[in-house]
Amino acid sequence: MELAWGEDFAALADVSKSVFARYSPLEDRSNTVPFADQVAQFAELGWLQLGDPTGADADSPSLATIAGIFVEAGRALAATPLLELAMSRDTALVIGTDEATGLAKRIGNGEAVVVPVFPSPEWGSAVTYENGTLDGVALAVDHAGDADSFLVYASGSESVVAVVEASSATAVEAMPNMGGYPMFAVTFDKVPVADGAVLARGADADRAVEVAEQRGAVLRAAQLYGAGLKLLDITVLYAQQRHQFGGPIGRFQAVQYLCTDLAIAAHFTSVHARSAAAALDAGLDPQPHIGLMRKQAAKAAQEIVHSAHEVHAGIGYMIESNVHLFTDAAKRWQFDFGSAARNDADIVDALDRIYTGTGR
Amino acid sequence: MRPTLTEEHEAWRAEIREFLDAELPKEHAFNPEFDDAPEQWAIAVEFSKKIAAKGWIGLTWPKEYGGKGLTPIFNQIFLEELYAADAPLINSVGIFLAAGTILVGGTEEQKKRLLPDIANMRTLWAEGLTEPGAGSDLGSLRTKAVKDGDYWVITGEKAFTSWGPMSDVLYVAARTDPEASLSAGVSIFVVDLNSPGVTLHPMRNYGGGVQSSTFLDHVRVPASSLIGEEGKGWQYIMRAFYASGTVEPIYAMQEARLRDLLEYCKAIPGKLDDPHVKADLAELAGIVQTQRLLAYEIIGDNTHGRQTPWGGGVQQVAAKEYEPVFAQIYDRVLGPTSQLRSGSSYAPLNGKPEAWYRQSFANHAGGTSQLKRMVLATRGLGLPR
Repeated sequence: MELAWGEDFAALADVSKSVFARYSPLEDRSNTVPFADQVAQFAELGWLQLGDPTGADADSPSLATIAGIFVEAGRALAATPLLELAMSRDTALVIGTDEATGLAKRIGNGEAVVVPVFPSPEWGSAVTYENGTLDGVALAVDHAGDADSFLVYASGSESVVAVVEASSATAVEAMPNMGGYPMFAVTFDKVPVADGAVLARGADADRAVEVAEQRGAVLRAAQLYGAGLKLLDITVLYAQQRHQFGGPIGRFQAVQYLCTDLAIAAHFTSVHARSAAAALDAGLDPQPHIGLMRKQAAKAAQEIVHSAHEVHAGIGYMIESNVHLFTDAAKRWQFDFGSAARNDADIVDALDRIYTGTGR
Repeated sequence: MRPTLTEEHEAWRAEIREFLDAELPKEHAFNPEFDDAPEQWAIAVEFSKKIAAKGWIGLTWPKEYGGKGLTPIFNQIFLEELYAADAPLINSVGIFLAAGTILVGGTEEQKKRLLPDIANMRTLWAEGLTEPGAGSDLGSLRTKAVKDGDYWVITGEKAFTSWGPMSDVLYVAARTDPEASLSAGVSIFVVDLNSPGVTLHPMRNYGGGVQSSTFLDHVRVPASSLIGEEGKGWQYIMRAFYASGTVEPIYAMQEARLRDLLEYCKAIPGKLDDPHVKADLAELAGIVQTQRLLAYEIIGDNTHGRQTPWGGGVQQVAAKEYEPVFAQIYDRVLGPTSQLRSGSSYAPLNGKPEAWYRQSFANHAGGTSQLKRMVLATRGLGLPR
């Protein structure tokens, strides 16, 4: 299996660097780009229609290539809805009906801003669909406040994926959080859903969401990897410049270990992301790769900021330092990789399937 | 899971709890190190003065200096209860560092003049040890004090001064002999923060508090501001932290948080059925208990004149390293809502975990874990420098 990033990864990353420079709080904390401008720019760049999870479009770039955008988004700590829009489009493409394909097209050209509302029961979040109505609360839904529509994955006697207007939700409540990220709780209280709005049911719905979540996890891991690389740069530079006991602190083995811990955690995330991307791109069973990547990335999200804080000590604790910006982001991303219970169960399930019957 | 204590000790604990129940409304509890908004600070000052009025500030100090002359375990129990309640006892620099220095090195006149003011909360102290170029490496400190008749003239810059704007005086370490080594060339001074030449530049920290850069520009202080003897500052600092014979009971605060977390988990159907959650809770319990045992080992050794293995260095490393680990595991149990601020109706435990997580990155205060390990390795284990 080829573990390199995709063919045009570097070219895409180069473009992304200049795009995300104006989003980055690292150079200027006041850097913000209005949501509508972001969507318009991404549509113009063609970034809202990259990749084809069905594999039908041979010309579409691989996931391992698209990851280039997300590595750079992470490196700049750019807060964008790109991942959410990609997950909505991927879900629609996998569903593949005329309605769903039409929705994917509208997302791809920037006409529809559709945010996925995929509740995580493992984190106490659930939306059900029964008798044509949605009920429940989905927590920590990024960018829900700016969406036109929600793509809701609801459980029930049979699970569904339904597209509903954002205004039809009973409440979209901001969830003030550590990093000040646009995160919302989306509540449905017996909200009726027209039959035509249900894009998929049962196994079809489950499959579409599973694929979108797997691809989304790879892109989030790429983002974490990019952030880890930037934090590594900042930390190594500090270890070289900060002098104590007659020389740079980076000459102490304890500090070298911390810097290398950071590098190792970031690189582990990268190889696991590439492995998972390669499996998805090749149409192989991605579950073991995804499970292991999620487990590693959730751990890395904690490790990279821990190491950076330990090296920076007092100055890293001050708001004027950029270190805490990574701490905030990593805290948010950590939970996007799922709980330990879910990841461990996925990994063991996959191992069981792989090893059973092989006799070795 | 507290070690067995005597009836007298338990009665003392009960007395403190009774006091806290009466004087510390739950909504006023906070960690004073990080929350210094004016209204919170006013509550903290009022509460701390009530503690002082009980005579509980200098529990282990000799009675003639405003103390109670009790053994360290009484002070430890007192602090455990305050930490467990998030009680806002202010002036920790005065109570521990400054009072410790004065007790081990101050003149008789200084003990009688300065200690009662700390015991009565009349004088609030800020810390002036760290400098921009001298954090872990205090030997690099450049602030200098030059004798000028009956005065010292102090010039330099101190970094990360907590509670500077609210304090009365600054505990300053300065070089009085630029040619001498750290152990012989540093002296300790008490500097009135209203003195001409003192400037504070406040900066916000990640935990929500304010720390200042403190500039000392030819600040003239009377000769009596030199604490103890010239050139013995480093020895005083080293001994001051241990002068009370107690150990900062972070474990007591963590245990209170663990109790809250367990209750939170019990309220969510099925949460405690998850073996990962059980493993995490058990790990948190282990962190709490290990630190408590290390603290009680040191207190027992101090009380009975025994030497704690490797100078108690294991406890210091553990305290530093467990702080962020505790917060990480805690949030892992809570999940994504752990990052929510108190303003969110979905924030668990009123949003406190979000602040606790940020504050866990302040574990460098008083020396990084890497420095503590270096001390353990070289002084404790005898490894070469």
